[in-house]
Amino acid sequence: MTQVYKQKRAFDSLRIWLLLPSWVTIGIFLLIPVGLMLVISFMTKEFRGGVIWELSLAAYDQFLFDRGLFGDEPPTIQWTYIVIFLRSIVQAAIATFFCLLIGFPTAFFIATRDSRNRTFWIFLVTVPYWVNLLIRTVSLKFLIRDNGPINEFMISLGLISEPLGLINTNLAVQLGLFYSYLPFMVLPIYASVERFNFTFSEAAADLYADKWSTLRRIVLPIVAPGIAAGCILVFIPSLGAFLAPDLLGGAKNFMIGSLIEEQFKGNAGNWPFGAAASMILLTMVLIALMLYTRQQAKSELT
Amino acid sequence: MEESQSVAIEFQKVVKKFGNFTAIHNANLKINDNEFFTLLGPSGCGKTTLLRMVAGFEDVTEGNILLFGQKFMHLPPNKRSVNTVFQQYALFPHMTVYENVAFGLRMKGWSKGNIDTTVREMLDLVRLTPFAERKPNQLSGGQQQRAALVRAIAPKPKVLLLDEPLSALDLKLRQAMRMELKQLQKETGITFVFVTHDQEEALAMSDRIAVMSEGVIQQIGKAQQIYEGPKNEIVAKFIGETNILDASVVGLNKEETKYRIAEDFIITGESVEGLTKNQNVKILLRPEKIRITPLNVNATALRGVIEESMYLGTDTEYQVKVSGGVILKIRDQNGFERRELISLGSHIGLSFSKDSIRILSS
Ligand SMILES: Nc1ncnc2c1ncn2[C@@H]1O[C@H](COP(=O)(O)OP(=O)(O)O)[C@@H](O)[C@H]1O
Ligand SMILES: [Mg+2]
Repeated sequence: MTQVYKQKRAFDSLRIWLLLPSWVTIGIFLLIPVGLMLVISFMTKEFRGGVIWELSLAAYDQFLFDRGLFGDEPPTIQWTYIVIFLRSIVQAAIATFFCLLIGFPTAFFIATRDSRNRTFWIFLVTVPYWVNLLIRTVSLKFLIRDNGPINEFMISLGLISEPLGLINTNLAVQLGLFYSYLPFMVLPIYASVERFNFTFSEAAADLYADKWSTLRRIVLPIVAPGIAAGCILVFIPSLGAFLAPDLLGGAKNFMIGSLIEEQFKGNAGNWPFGAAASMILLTMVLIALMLYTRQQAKSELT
Repeated sequence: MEESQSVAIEFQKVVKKFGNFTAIHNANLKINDNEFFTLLGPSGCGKTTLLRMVAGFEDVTEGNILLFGQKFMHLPPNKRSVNTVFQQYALFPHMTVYENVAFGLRMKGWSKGNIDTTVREMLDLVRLTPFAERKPNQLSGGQQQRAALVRAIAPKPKVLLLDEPLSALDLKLRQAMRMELKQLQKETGITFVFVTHDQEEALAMSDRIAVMSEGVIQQIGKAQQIYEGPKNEIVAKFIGETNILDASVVGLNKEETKYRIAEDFIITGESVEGLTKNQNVKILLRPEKIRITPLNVNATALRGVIEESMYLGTDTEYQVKVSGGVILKIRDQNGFERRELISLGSHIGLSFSKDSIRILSS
């Protein structure tokens, strides 16, 4: 014990140097850009993109209130963006739910295979990541569009007489999100189920629990951290996703990620507004994460 | 085995194979109701496998196991009124001690009031009441052990299976728990099937013991029967220490038998049935059955030279070279009479009674 302790402490003097690379990386690539966005969100917009460095709350105001075309009417609540926001949350939640529904059994299946075969199954799960997300999303679009292979195949079999009209629907966006982020659900759950000691489920069966009770009262609570990690890893990128809604959802099914992306694209954008929307999104994600860690800490204590 | 007692568990010609490997060879065993029964054997001999077949975690390749005369092999583990104390306890880490003990009762569908009364009773029984609201990782090893024990006892199983429950505890605690387990078995009247590789534990606690080796049940009997009358060399070697001597029968009559171990090393034992002259046998002689005597007491007594000595506190172990170059282990008690250690190289006399030697025909 003391030996290990000493070895741990041996690096104390080096600590700063060991931490430096990660601090520098986080500083340059995370804190500075986010700080910049925060500043820009409080600036005045320039009409062809970019900003005028004058303090203004206009971006946040635009997000929340409608002051008419010329900005001189009494403010009413601006629903457009709130609706986009809510839609994003609902879409991300649904995607997370389906990823969990499919991902948990998948992860459980893999984790309970022979240890020799597990690597192979995990490898299969990661195969889609060999191809760029954009290309995968475009391929999905190609697959489900009205004159794509799925519709043509089913029409040729006589199963349907008209295309299903999948493309440009919420469902298509769902499918895109689900497909993009499923491995993010499978991997953390796999990791926690793999660590699960199956003597616990034997003990439960020994104490008269049937399979369902064992799953609900023993397995799920013990692997819960893995499930939570998977949900976070799917929910957060789904919330800010823009490829799937852009390519599969069309204009009607706008999500917050696409909204932000638009503001920084070409000449039509509004940088402060995009920055403000990003900040609102970031704040919501942070609040959700804080609630989650609070909950975790509480359940560890009791 | 007394047939008047009812039999709790009966193994009938049980064989267990894992692929090509046979873990249990033709096990026949009757465990009586209300008995503290121990399966004793070295690690890997198949003790856990036997328990797991009773609990329902492994199926039986051939043969049958009966619970109070009833077939129950077709039932899944959660339908068997048999509970297990697991080797590493397997207490549910996300539940408090109270919830752990209540779990089996909840699953059996007991009423809330009944559950509460029983759980409190159980926690009281093993002095865990002050720790009821703790999680398993906030308990000491001994407390975890007791929690696992009452968790398995609370649903009042017909048979309790204990898989090396004491092996994770340190020596002092282990010795204290022996008494406690034995007590608990008496109080509850539940049949205990206790697994251990520790012969001392087995001898101290059990009503009866089955000695196992490499998937074979070698001998079944009371502690004394097994220690004093091992059926074969495997049992003799595993239980306690013993001198095993190759010998041949040189003389036999109604009262006694003479065996020759070496040229001028002949010993006398009680008469044994079924021996013939010149037959080769193995002689078992426990080290503590041999007495060291002064040389001049008896001219015909066996003589030897002390080769090595090991002082062990309660007694001293000597390695003594006797005629024919044979080495005998002797345990000399440091008891009532205070003794000096006998120095190396001393010539001593040895004696033992006729009935302390045990013959295995080879
Ligand atoms: N699931 C299994 N698959 C293959 N072999 C096993 C399995 N379980 C146990 N064995 C083998 O069966 C033998 C007996 O094991 P076990 O009953 O655990 O021994 P013990 O509990 O006496 O130490 C060992 O040789 C072990 O390797
Ligand atoms: Mg074992």
